[in-house]
Amino acid sequence: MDGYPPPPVETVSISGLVKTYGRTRALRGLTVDIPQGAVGLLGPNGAGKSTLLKILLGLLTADSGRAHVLGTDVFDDPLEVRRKVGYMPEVDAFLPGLTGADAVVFCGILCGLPRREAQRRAHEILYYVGLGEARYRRTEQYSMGMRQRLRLAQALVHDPELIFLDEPTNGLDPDGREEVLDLIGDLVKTHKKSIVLCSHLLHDVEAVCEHVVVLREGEVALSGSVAEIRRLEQDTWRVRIAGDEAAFRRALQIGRIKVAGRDDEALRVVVPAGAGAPELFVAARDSGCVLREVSTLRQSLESVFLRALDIPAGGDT
Amino acid sequence: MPVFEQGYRPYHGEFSRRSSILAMAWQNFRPRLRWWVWLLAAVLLFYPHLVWAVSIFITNMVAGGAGGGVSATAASMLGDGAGWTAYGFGVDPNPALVGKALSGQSLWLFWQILEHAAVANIVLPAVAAGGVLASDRVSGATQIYFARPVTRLEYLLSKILCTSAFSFMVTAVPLLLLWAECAAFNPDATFILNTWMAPFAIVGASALYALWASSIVLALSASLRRPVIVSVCAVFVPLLSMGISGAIVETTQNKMWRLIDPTYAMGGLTAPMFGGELPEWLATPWLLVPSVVLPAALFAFVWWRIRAVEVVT
Repeated sequence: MDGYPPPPVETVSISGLVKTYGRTRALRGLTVDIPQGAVGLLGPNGAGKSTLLKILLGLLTADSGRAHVLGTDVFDDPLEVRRKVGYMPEVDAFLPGLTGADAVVFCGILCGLPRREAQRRAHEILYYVGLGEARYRRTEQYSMGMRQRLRLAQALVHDPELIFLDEPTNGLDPDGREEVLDLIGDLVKTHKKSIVLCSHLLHDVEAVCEHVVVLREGEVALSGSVAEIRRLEQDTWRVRIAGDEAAFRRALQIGRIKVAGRDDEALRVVVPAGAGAPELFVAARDSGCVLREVSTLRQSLESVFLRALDIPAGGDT
Repeated sequence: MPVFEQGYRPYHGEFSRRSSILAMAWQNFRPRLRWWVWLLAAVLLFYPHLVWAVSIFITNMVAGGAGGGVSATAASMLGDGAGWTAYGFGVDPNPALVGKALSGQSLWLFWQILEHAAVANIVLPAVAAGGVLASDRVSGATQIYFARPVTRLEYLLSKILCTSAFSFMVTAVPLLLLWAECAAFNPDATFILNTWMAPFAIVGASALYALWASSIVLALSASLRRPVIVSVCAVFVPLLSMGISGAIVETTQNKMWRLIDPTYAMGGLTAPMFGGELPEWLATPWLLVPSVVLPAALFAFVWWRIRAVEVVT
């Protein structure tokens, strides 16, 4: 799109990042490249997500390792990183006594915008995030959803190339959540912004992100594009048979098809790469069973997430 | 369609690399200028001003009645030994000092007003800006600053400027006003020539007073979460030290303990700026402990606390 310089292929590049708090190792030699576009940063509490964001913003120093954000070393020039990046914090953050417009103008000035430009952009952005009518109200009077939008506006006012969003839909009702996700989607698709979306809500990540990084105990448990991950999971089938199940299982084994589990009366089976329904029909024929149902399982990101963390489905994430 | 309703647009303009300390300080200062702050400032500002203005008025009346002019009357009121020893610490407003000030012979009047404003100097910053750090921590505003190109030093300096501005409202502003009035209404043209250093002394001394007050207010604001508690404690600190100082001096009969009293500590530090000499018991390196070392230590503490706040974002 006109007006936007081409961003680097990798917005964030992290190599061997180690961070310890006393005896607790928050990051254990974390190495990952975060591509441009929308990336979801997932992980249970204590996985190191917040620590990673703080390090990338230059608020914390690491014990060892390197990290580059948009080509800038976060340890050598943290201020430059913060100039290029927009950050929407997870927890409530507002400047007491200011109107919404003043708060966004102030953030623009902090980022180096001339006052007049900051005022112009503040009004634009507040309309963009849906706070146009409320921009002259004091931020203390804003509802939770409005504050969430205000934080997004503050993160966008200086037109950053990369935006870190920490739980951007926290506390929003379903409609508000969809609207914020639509805004984030618009930023990525229409305005070619790169975002790193840190969230516990997998639906949000699934709705917006093209790439996910799952952290577990300070290490990368899984990293890849959502499409690739889903493709890996597409080899799982749901099969319901009539006949001798034991014989069917033996036939599957001969065909190198694994039985992953059982859902009610159906089996969940994983076929090898390149195989599919024909192999299941062959196994049924060989075992003298009748196939009542054969369907691929569309895996949600949640199942991938749970598997990456070795947590059984239905477990506490 | 208005331009701001046209959706998200890229920004192609310039980015300034200048420090945003002043913008931050103003953003902290402006919302705290409530009506009651103005009222309090007016009371604190005009109290010493009013006292001295009345003294000046009386002096002028006397001068007019005597027919000898202001300077002549002032000179006649000086008496022998009118200086530090006679009009030193703890002495109530003295018309002789007014006379000297009006005739441009001495800056002691300004110094004495400043010394009398030592407590007011902390009251206004404490009441108006007690939450300058505490509110940021409670409202999460710290993240708003530190997620942007703002260093810890810039953040701290902006807070010091904010609290100092409130202090200046009751120190430098009334004193400069008073000097300007003296200069404007004095028939003696040499007044400005004789007292040209007064504005510099006033601003310099007020800055020291402001730093002292800021260090206490910011240290409390960095430690406590409720601005009201910060305000109460900050006002209580100088009153408590004055009380303790007085009690110890009474008990031990050692004047050195006056150093605990901020009016003596800061008064002693700033007296040379107005051309005064310190009494022997006050002219000691120990004077620097409450007036310089303590504020510096408190600022170091605030610096450390800001780092801690930054980490927990």
